[in-house]
Amino acid sequence: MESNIQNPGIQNPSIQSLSIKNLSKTYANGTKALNNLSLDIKPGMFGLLGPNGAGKSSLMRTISTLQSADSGSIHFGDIDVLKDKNEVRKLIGYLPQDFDVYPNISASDLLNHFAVLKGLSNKSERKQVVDELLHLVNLDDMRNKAVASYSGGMKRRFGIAQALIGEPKLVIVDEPTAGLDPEEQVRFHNLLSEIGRNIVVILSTHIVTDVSDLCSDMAIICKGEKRLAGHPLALIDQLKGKVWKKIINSQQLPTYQKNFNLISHRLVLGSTAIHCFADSAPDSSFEPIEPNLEDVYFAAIKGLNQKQEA
Amino acid sequence: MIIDIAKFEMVRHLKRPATYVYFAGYALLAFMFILLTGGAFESVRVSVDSSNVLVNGAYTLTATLASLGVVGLLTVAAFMGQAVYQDFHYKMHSLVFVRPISKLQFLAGRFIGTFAILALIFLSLPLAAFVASVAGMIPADALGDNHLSFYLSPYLSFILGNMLWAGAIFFSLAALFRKMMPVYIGGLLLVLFWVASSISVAGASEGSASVFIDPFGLQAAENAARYWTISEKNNDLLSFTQDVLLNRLMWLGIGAAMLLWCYRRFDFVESLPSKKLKKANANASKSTLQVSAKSSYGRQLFDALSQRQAFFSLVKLELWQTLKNRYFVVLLMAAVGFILFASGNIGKIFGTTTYPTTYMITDVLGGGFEIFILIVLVFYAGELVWREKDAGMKQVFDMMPIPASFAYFAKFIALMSVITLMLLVVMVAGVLIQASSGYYEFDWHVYLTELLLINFSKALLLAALALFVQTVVGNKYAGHGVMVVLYLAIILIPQAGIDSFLLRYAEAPEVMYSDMNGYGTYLAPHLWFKAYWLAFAVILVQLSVLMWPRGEDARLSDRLKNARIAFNDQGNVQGNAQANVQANAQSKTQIKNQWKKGFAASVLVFASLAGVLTYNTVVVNPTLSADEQVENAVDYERQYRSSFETLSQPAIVNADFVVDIYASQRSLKLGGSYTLKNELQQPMSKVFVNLPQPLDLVELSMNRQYAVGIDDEVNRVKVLTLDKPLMPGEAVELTFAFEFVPQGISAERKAARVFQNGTFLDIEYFPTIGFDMNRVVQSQNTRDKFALGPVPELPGPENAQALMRNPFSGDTRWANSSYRLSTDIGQTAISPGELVKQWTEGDRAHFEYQSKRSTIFFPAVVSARYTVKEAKWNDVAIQVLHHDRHDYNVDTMISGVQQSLDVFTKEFGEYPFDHVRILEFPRFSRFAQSYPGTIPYSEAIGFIARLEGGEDEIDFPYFVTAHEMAHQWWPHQTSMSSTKGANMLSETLAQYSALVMMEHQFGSDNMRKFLRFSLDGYLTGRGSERNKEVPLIEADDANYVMYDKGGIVMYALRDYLGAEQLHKILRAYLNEFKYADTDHPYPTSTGLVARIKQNTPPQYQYLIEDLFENITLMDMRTTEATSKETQTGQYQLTLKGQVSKNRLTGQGESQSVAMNDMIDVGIFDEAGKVIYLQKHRFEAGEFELTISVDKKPASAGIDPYHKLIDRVPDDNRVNVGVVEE
Repeated sequence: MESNIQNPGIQNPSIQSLSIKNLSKTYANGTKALNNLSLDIKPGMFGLLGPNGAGKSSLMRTISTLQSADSGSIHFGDIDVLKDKNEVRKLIGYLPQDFDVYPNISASDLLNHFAVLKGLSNKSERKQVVDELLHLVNLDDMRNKAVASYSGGMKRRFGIAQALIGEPKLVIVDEPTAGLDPEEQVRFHNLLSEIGRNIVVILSTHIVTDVSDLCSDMAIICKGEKRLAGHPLALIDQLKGKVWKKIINSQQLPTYQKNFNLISHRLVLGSTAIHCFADSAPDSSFEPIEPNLEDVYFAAIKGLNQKQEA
Repeated sequence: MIIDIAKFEMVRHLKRPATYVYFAGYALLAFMFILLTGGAFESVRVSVDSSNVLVNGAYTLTATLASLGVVGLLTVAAFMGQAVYQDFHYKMHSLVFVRPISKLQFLAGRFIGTFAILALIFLSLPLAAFVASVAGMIPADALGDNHLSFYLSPYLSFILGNMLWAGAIFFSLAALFRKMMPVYIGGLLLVLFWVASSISVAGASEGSASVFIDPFGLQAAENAARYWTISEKNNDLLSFTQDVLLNRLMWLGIGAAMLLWCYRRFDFVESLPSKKLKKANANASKSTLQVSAKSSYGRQLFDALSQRQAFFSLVKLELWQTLKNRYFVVLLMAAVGFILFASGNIGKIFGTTTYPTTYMITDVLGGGFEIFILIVLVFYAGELVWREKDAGMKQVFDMMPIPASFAYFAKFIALMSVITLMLLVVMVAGVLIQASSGYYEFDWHVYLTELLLINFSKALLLAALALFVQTVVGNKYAGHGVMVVLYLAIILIPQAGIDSFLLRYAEAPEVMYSDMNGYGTYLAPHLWFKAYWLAFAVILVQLSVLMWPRGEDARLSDRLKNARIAFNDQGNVQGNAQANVQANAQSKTQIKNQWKKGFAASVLVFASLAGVLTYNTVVVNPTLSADEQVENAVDYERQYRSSFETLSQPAIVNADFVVDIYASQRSLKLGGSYTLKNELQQPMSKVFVNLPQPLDLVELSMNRQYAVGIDDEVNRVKVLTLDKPLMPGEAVELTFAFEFVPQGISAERKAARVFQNGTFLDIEYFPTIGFDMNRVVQSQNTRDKFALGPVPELPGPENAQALMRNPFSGDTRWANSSYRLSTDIGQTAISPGELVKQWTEGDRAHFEYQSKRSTIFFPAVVSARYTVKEAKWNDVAIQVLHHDRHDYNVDTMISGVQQSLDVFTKEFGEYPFDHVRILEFPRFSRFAQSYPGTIPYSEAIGFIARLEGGEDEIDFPYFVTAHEMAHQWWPHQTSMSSTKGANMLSETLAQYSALVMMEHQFGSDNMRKFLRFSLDGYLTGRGSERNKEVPLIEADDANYVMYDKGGIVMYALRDYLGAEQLHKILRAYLNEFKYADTDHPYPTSTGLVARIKQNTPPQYQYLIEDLFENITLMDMRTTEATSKETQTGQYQLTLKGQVSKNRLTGQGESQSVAMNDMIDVGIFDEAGKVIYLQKHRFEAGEFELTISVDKKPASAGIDPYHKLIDRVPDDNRVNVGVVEE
């Protein structure tokens, strides 16, 4: 179902990238949400990986003009994001982590309202866009129902629709797949990667597979600091030959945690499998394994491979 | 488990700073309120009652703490609502509800925990009140001993009691609706219900059902203490009278019922999405349609058109979300309900209804309705500002590419449409109220002016403030609190001596509409101040937009930084190569520059208006604050009393006035001369002249050599010292000229009352001679503060000088006067005296009046456009000059005049003039006053009374007319001496004469109603006595003694002595003192009482002591009346009851005395007609009487007509029970 709307954006593919320099933010309670963070984000899908409380949401909010920074700068193309907020707002599509809407307003009415706010001034075009977007996120049937009565997954799909209105040059999605069933997740990933071909898409998540599946570029942040950044495969490559595995019983875990650079441990059939970081096999009982992005992530969070920036 | 949950809830609150903020806030409120009540700041007090009631007395503490507790109910609503709502709001309910606790445990635990924390918070009220009483800031005379129970009792019975049942309702509403809105609506309805019920309940008699509908019990308590004296109010804890107790129990019962209902209806199960939705949901998930995303969904344009569209879309959405809401409908209905409730009492004059003129309808808006609007504003401002946040879509909304101003103004418009709709609904309701009572003279311009220029503009200002507060405070509930505190500050700071309108946001000089004079001079200054505050509001609006809470920044420093960026930054957008985004750097820069210009412009406008108004109200028309007025009065007394109070002054024996009123320009020239004659025995060399306060002096001189001894501009006093003293019998001419020309804007409410239509110049506008005791401060507290000594009392009859002076004009006795008046053509100018000449010249109408004989010196000039109704009584011409539309009661007034002349000439003596004129004047003052042959009569007190012959109705126009007519005899012919009890000789005799007329007109059966009305006035009045109550013979300026008690006493006396005998006494009194010569002392109250005593038979001598010389209260009650039919067809009635007599001190301490008194016993039939009325002799104690009558008795009792003064008048008469054989 192709639309025949002219898209002036394609005629002039001025693709901008996002440059974050030395961004710091401390909250009133003393929490350092962002600590001298610098990132360079090129068009394409960018994965922002970090545990809960790492500062991902703070970063997302700062980029989407919702929060100020204590110091540092953010530029999107020529726009100073921290100062020239309204210009950035014209270019951003944002899907926040928590999202709900006014009571008693239908999906099509609300989407239409958002479209007006986003500068879609032609009424018939706007109507068509609303139809397309609702179709895209598969909410055609529910278009006249109050969004507030939607289930969590449906609300997220509506959130995606509103984020795509217009011609966003920067799309930010915070924990996008939370609340979506597996099928929806796949559809959503496909959607994102299509969007990410021309513009900057930032995907904030703590789910490693989201990033490994989709992103051409990524950063791992923890405690407001950047731990690692680069192409996922390159990062995995750096870890080659440095990850070792061993099956132990769970009582031994404290000992291993003390004596080795443990990346992760997990229960496998009643025993505990540990992954360990070392330049060479710690001892013969460890076997080498092929690292994956999860190892990169956990190693980075624990500060084991910090200096190996790509 | 319940305890655990309750404890958890308490601990949670104890950890929140808000809890302590509330505690501190309420403590501060109570502290300040008690200090203000106690007069800690200034001479002026917030008065719960009268100034002699102690601040830490039982009554004041109960009234204050209980009322503050009602104010606190908004907090109770918030806490109780949140106690259950929190789980739904944070979507935790599914978590909470799976825990293994029962419904009872959950609900009871939460309720108890929240109640406990609220009880703690509101403990701040009695605590702070106590601290205030011992802080040493309240004058000692306002404090008594502290009693713990005085603090605890209101806390337990009113604060906690109301919190318990109202809290139960709030709690249940939140639990059942799972929303906060119903809780707030519930709270609002309660307050409304309270306001409305207190209007309809006020003054309801004890035991009447209406006392129960007051939900907070304040009115029930108030009614119980209605007739209490000061000493009772200070010392008697508001013991639970039956009414108060029943009221408390009933409302607690309602609360309990609500909780029970809540328990039964509350469902733990999380409400599930409907099946239909689930199915649709499933369908949506199943669909596997593969669609690919595009890189563009619509062209984004940010030009003027799209911006306009965006704004309108926002406005539409805000309006839709606000108005299409069932709670809003409830609110509108509440507004209508309020008006309907209030209209029940619209324009009652002493219990008698008036025509529902438009201004009476709109006056309701200025009162309680303003509070209603304020609550709605405060509430909706919070809802609107935080709508997106509460809906959970703040982040998405805040990053929409629209300016903050769009969101702000869309919300502002929504807020104002709520108010507009409410005002419109009120207007429609008002028109319906008028139409439904058959009144069709709708003054549309009054509706428009009041609603639009006054109410709407004020709401607009408050809305700007409320939005600003929400914006800056950054938290909805804290915003509500701050707004309430700000509003209280605005209305309370005048009590602390700051009453300039320039310093009180949204306040402006009061506006009053009169049918005669329209808005007169009141509207213009009101609008000037509104404009001034509007300019300030524009600044608030701009600051609100700058500080608009966009994004997640909570810290004030961050938000200020954002505001600074918004204000300063020109935007770094050059070279912004967005092909599809029309970012026009230049226009953006322009917008930002406009921002700065706009801000500068509004500050400039505000500053200029501030300058203009300050200049006008401080320099051109200085407005004296209440404090300054007091200080002036103090200064006047300090400077002049000692040397001039007793200094004899020459008398005005002739006065010629020339008064030119330029009504359309509101200007005035008042000149003339007095012939001042030394009528006493000693030479006089100083003439003390009080210049008329509202007028400017042009000239003042005498036709003899003199020097200006004192020239006091502030106190408006001139003392002229004659070079050669004025010898006895000598006279001198005092010539004077004054003028008033209105200039600029005046906020002074007492500015010269020269009006376009309805000018009334009374003694205030004429120069007077001699030190004026009326200007002396009368409040004992204020006097103490300035060390002025006790409140001055008139001297006793032994004072020779006082016997030769009268309280109106001092040494001036009888004067001849002439007036040469001119006014705008079309108006009639009137003064006391005979109209001797009348002509017009150009656009001026001229009138000349000349007194036929010398009269009491009481100058007055009235000018207005009049319709005249004329009548005659013998050779006396009667005229009622009234506003065209106000012809409703003119005939009643005329017959009142005619019948008064009939009766008074027959009973007392001749009427000295050939005319009686009644002149209507605008309602800016509410009184009628007798001048020789001329009676100015306010439009508010009789001209629009609506008499329909209802049972409790009192024909007020007739009564007032009769009273004023009686003044033509007392004191106009018998001017009294300036001694203690003087008012008994004027007001008491006039009131008595008016009662005689009431009996003449309405028959003796109706007297019960009039006497009951007076009795109520007396008992209520003495309960709020400022100083001490005096016996009638010493009648001071307390209305309840000279009018209410006086009327009852004289009427009782007439009953015992017989009208013939009493009127003989009065005639003899009149004849002795009528226009008494200069060497004849004026009458005294003791003289009149002695005269009465002489003519009272021995068995009634006790009455003179009881009625005149002491404060005597009877306690008479009938407990049982039964009747039995005898064989002869008669009825034998047995009456049982008690009687006692009490003497009281001025402070209200009571002592019972022996008695052997004659008191009426009355028996009445089914129709209320008298079967039997005889005096019986009673001794103190229980009585039992048996009386045989011919007709079947229906009711019977002791003193059924309330001739004697009884504190509980309702139990005098009971229905007769029938005893079967």
